[in-house]
Amino acid sequence: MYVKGKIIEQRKLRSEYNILIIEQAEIARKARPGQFIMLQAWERGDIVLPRPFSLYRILPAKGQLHILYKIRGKATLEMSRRIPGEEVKLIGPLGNGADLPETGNIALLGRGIGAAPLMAIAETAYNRGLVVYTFLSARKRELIPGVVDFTRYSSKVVLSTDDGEENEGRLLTVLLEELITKEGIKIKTVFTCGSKRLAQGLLPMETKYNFRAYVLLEEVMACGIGSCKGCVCKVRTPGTPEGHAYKRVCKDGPVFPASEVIW
Amino acid sequence: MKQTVNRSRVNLEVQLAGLTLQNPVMPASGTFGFGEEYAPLFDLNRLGAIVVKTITLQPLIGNPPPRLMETPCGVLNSIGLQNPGLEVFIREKLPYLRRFSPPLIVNIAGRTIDEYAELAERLSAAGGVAALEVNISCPNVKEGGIVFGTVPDMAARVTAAVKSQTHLPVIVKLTPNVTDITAIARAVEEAGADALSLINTVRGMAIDIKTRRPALANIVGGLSGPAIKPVALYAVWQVAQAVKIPLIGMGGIMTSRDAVEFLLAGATAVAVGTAGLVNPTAIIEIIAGLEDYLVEQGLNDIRELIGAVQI
Ligand SMILES: Cc1cc2nc3c(=O)[nH]c(=O)nc-3n(C[C@H](O)[C@H](O)[C@H](O)COP(=O)(O)OP(=O)(O)OC[C@H]3O[C@@H](n4cnc5c(N)ncnc54)[C@H](O)[C@@H]3O)c2cc1C
Ligand SMILES: Cc1cc2nc3c(=O)[nH]c(=O)nc-3n(C[C@H](O)[C@H](O)[C@H](O)COP(=O)(O)O)c2cc1C
Ligand code: FES
Repeated sequence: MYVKGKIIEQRKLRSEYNILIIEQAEIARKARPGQFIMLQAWERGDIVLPRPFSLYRILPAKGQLHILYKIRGKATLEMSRRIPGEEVKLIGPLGNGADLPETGNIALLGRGIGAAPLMAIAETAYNRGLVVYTFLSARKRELIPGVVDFTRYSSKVVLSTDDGEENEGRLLTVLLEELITKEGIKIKTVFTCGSKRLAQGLLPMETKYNFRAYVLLEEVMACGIGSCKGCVCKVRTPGTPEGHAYKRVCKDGPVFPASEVIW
Repeated sequence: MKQTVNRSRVNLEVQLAGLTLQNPVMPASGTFGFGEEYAPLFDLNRLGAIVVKTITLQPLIGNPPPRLMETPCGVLNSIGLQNPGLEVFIREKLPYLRRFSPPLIVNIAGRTIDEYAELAERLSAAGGVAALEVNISCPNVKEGGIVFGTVPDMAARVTAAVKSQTHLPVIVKLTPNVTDITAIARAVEEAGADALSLINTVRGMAIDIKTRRPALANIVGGLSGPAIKPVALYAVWQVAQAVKIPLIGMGGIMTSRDAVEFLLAGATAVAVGTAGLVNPTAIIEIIAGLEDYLVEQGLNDIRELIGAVQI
């Protein structure tokens, strides 16, 4: 769906992140956690392509989408200059989204801005009665976004910062392992985003602890709808001459079983 | 003096290599997949023609990522012709595409002249294909592709081979990455091409200064979008002077105003690529904008614009 949306709020967080709140009732009604939108929030001809953003929060009752974003380059800088009342263009909801188990516990592992799509997953899982364990890391404490909200939807939120302030900067996968072994918590499904190292660290744990790990991938995108084949990742594909194929992050993902991705 | 023109009487129809196009606007190969992703967004029957992604004899998995990079006013890509191959195309994509009324133009690329010929033969027999667009200009594959498009004699041999295997109109797609595009255009016309499409992407690269590595895994990519429009427009104008066969102009067409420029420069039809990635309904807006332009200018017929640039 290619539609217009209205900016409701531009919320500057203390860190280098902002939250953009967009009113777009149709997308808010249809979207599932783990999906994303292609956003165009600028009228500059030199920025050609729309940009992909995860849905941080999906509020169908209010008809709102929340996007947590980090200023990286020219498009995200333009985004940060938009003010309430202004119009933006969106394509969405896009991608496969996260499949939640019917019952049981899930764990979310996010690094930095990679926490963005995990919030929508946490909220949905919580509302469906699943138990959520959230593990977040960043360079320093203030670069971990949404801790208050994550705490609301999670049974436990575990932080780790590279400066050692939180959990001596230990790996989130190790902290997850401790939850499983020391506290005896069974985890059915894990979602991770924002770090290749995290996703790879989960691989040997999958069989050991009997969970399924999914990774939310990012690639530079153009169409966002599966047509241009520009946003691919390498995926194990038995039965092909090469043993792998290039799958579209926008259409076949962005959520992939971690064990299928070839890094 | 300008006449007053009734919108409903404006003619957008053009003839191109024996095809009747209800309007002169079509998607550019490779930016529209096989139409499936766009069908939910607008009615494909409104297009002048449907042009699909390049098909090769065998499936191609394409180039490793990253494949895309935005540059100021442009997009660099090196997809590497990822496609499911001829058999899957005929079996799984063609039945779907046959449902639509605009002429279906299938873009083909081979590694050898024989492969081009075989593709032409089998697609002509498949039914539902209105014309072939012969891609001798892809900058992103190692074998074939652009090699055939840079040497006039090779371009002519590919064209002749395709012509010999098909009754369908043959459109040859040219690369701008040559010293003299008119030499290629003339060679291809002499070899029997029914139309030309131009331009394919302009070769380029970008470097990530943080990692000090090329932004694209393939190192080189093809530049498209507004950045290449002047290059494309000049190529169309030059080639229009050099050949008699009709041209499909493309390269950075983002709006109907851009499309009008290409028609004035001598294109009979235009193709829209990158604009459709930016705004999936751009192509429909361009068709509507052409109609508005005619009304505004007091013209009844879009054909009055073709080659009408006043020098
Ligand atoms: C499915 C998906 C979901 C995303 N969700 C979010 C989100 O919720 N919040 C958020 O802040 N960002 C998200 N991103 C990344 C976001 O799209 C990029 O930060 C944005 O495109 C940068 O645009 P720019 O013009 O500001 O930067 P550019 O000038 O384009 O680039 C600046 C830097 O960012 C890198 N970059 C550019 N595009 C991407 C990309 N698509 N993915 C990763 N790095 C990129 C470039 O390599 C460069 O180093 C997501 C990306 C994808 C593919
Ligand atoms: C992502 C992408 C994929 C493309 N794939 C093909 C292709 O498979 N075959 C082809 O002949 N041209 C391909 N092209 C080139 C376009 O058809 C067109 O010639 C070029 O992009 C210039 O037009 P534009 O500026 O409107 O995009 C591709 C272009 C892009 C941007
Ligand atoms: S961005 Fe075009 S296929 Fe994914």
